[in-house]
Amino acid sequence: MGALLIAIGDLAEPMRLALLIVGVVFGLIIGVIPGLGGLFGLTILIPLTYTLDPIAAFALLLGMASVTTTSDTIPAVLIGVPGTVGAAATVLDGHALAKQGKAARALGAAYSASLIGGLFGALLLALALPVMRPLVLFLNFGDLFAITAFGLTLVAMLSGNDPLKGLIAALIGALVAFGGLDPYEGAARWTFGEVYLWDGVPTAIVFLGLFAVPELADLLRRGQIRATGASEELGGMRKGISETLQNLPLVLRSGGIGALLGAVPGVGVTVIEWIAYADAARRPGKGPAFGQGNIRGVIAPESANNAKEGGSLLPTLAFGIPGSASMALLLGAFTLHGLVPGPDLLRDDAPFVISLILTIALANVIGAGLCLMLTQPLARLASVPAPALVPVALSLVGIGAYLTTRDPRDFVVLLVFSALGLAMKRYGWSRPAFTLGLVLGPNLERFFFLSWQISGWSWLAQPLVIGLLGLSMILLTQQIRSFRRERPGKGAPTMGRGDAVLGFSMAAVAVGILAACLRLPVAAAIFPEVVAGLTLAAAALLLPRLWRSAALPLIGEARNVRSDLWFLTAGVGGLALLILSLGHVAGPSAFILASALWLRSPQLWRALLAALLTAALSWALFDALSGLTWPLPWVVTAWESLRHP
Amino acid sequence: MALGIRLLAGVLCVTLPAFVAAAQTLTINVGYGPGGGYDDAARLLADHIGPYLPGAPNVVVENVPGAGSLKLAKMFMQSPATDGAEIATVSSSLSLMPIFDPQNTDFDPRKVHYLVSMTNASSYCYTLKSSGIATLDAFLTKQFKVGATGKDSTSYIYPAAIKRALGAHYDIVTGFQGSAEVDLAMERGDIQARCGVGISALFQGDDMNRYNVIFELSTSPRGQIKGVPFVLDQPMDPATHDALKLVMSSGSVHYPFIAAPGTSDARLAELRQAFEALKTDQAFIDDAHARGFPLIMTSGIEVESLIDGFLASDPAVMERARALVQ
Repeated sequence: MGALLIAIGDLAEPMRLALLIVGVVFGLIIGVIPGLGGLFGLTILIPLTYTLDPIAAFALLLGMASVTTTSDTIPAVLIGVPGTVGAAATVLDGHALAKQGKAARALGAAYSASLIGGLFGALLLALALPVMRPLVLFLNFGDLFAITAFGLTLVAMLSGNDPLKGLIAALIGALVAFGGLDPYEGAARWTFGEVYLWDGVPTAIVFLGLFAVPELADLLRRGQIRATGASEELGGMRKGISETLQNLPLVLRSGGIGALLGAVPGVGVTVIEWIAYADAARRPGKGPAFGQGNIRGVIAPESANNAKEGGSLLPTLAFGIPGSASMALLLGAFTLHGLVPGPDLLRDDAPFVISLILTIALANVIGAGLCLMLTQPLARLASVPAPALVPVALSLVGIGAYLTTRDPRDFVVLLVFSALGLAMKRYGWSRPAFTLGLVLGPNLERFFFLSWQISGWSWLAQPLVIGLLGLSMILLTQQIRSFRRERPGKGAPTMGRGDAVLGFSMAAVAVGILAACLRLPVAAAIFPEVVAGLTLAAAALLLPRLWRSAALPLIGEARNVRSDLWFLTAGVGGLALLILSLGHVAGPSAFILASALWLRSPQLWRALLAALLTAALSWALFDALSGLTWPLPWVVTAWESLRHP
Repeated sequence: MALGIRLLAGVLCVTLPAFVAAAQTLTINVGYGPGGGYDDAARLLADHIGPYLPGAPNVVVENVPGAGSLKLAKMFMQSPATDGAEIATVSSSLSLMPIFDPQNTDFDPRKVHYLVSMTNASSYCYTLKSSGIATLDAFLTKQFKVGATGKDSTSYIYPAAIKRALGAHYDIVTGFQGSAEVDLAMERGDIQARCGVGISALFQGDDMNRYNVIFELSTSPRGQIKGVPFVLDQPMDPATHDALKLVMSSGSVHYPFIAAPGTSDARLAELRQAFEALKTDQAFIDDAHARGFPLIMTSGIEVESLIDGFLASDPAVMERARALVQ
């Protein structure tokens, strides 16, 4: 109790509180911008803490890191663009609610779930302090394999009314993620000889392509976020908060998932939020189906991704072992300030450790409070004309994608996965299922090989492994029975020739991967071979429907496909060319202005203002503050080569 | 009005690229993700080297992780840059790549310019006290697991070479994402040992009370931890001794910093002078000490000479070394 009072007293000093608020505000800004996350914020802020005392330094750092997953909800809900990779699941139901005129409700529920989740994570961290070591050591790789396998059985929950397509999407997601150097042999798998792909396809760009671009294309077609005829719900924010409170067991369960998995190194926020989302989808409660504006689909991932921060501090504090890249940077900051994480720190400097927990809790309260204050004005964005909104949002998506490695190939990946996302959205292939395969497939392989190397097959006899794999089998059997009974997908509409093209393309990818596996060492090939084989089996079952689709041209399909292609080439491709030609400051601005002229935006001065603000933001964040090195714009290179031929 | 706006837009588009080209910056690329020894070394340098370079540029650190830093090494080897505005730190074991993997042309240490190596301190193999493997004899004779990341990393290369050279019975588990995951698996008892760990990591917190330090790994004994056996003092035939020494030699050019092959001579001289000046900068030395960094710098020219020596070893020794790390 004495340590708690000392910690409160320490943190309550005005300067430290001010730094905490600065950190929170900075974290909220970073969370809103697609492609940025807590890691980016830490690299900027850590050098600024050299002269601060440890409590003030960590008030700034943890204040920032705790709330990026609160504000990343704003673009996710309003425009369907995840602010960080941790908000991709929130897009599905959050943005669907915004289209129905319920943006304030979705945001209210998201912030309050973030707040409770964040506080719950901090509380679990506090309660776990005395028993930190056994808790962190509780799960081994066998258990993680079983958790991942269980997570994959949730694919059906994310597949809408077409489980077969969902299954194929998940398998293709896993095949994509197997790309890069395999974890056991180090063999290159479908990297096309490109060093760029050695670490696999950048997940952050895949998310932007799969979710952000199709939603923006759809938004431009519809004219504004809120669907025509839908009016903004009155008292939405209060309703959202009360729905969070009504779903408190879900908030706490998702928070528990976030905190527990957050404590395990190697399990990132992408995995955590999708497992929480899919877990919530098992009990959708009242209201629309998941993916069509179910508030529980907003509450679960938001609670989980904020609770994660408390959990991920556990291994760092318990052993000095960072659970993620952000925690590795924080560990460096501990050293800079003369602190050595580990059991000694807790014993010798308990008030400081408690001040860290209080910082996380307070940051969540301030972050959620600030966001709630902004909810009503932000919700008005739902009625802003799309021609004004989409170019700005797409520019931020472009900057976010290019920020990943600052390599022109970032745009190639963005274009490929935007095309896939547009096609999947149009033809009813579950993008969440693809994502689940993408984030869980490689973990399944890695955890399997680690477990097998460590204990042969004996890990299969662990109680949690037996329990979870048994549960997965029961769920699968139930699902297969219900599919045979209800024949979901049987009545699914024929989607047109494009659906057949997409289905056959996915089967072709599986065939190509099977062929590529012939040249790989057995250990590197085994998982992709099994997954590709399952993909082909599922595609064979889907074949009759695809055949019907190919034979039946749909009225208007060509027009819709042309519209998608136009958005892809002129929008994403044009933006990529402008950024590459003019740089990350002028390129997006030029794109916003060109779009305003092209789309005949009635208020050009607004477009000009938006262009200037985007340029200023890009320069301030990526040049002035972080000092990142960007490739020279093509016009500068051309100019230089003209001057010095 | 409309024309005015279009004109303004045109001016904006033409002038804004200036923002991009104007800043004078030295970028230190790190072949690994944030956190860890290489990142620490780069950030330590970034805080001190600027004033020693002409124009006192801003110094920024960027992480370009991938394939145990081979990705960045390959990018740098192919870079056409001559201005030395970017330098990089990549795995010290890459300096032996022509020996370990002669078919692999992704990186050739003879084609890039080495600027400095930040330390040549020994690294160690250690076990957890609770593992029951407390002595060198137990390490070499008992059946247990050693954790490693990828097969190109020193966390695999060192224990693999020791196992073959000294006939040890342990197995090496690969596929961990980083040292944090290896350490946690050790705490859980899934694995019992780790190799290639720097002295700074061992002296953090109560680590020295929790771990048995089994082996000192280096080309010559430093004796920084009393009573720890030196790997090359163990009985083995002369050919194996020479090969194992060659395997350990990358540790003598640890945390190296490189410049692209086309870097101009003038710029190379500036960069190397800046690193030389840092060697005697007390603020830099104190900061390194405060961060627990084992600073023992070797000049770039000396590093290149050492690497040339490694690569000019007797072909039979190189072949034996290659066999040891398979």
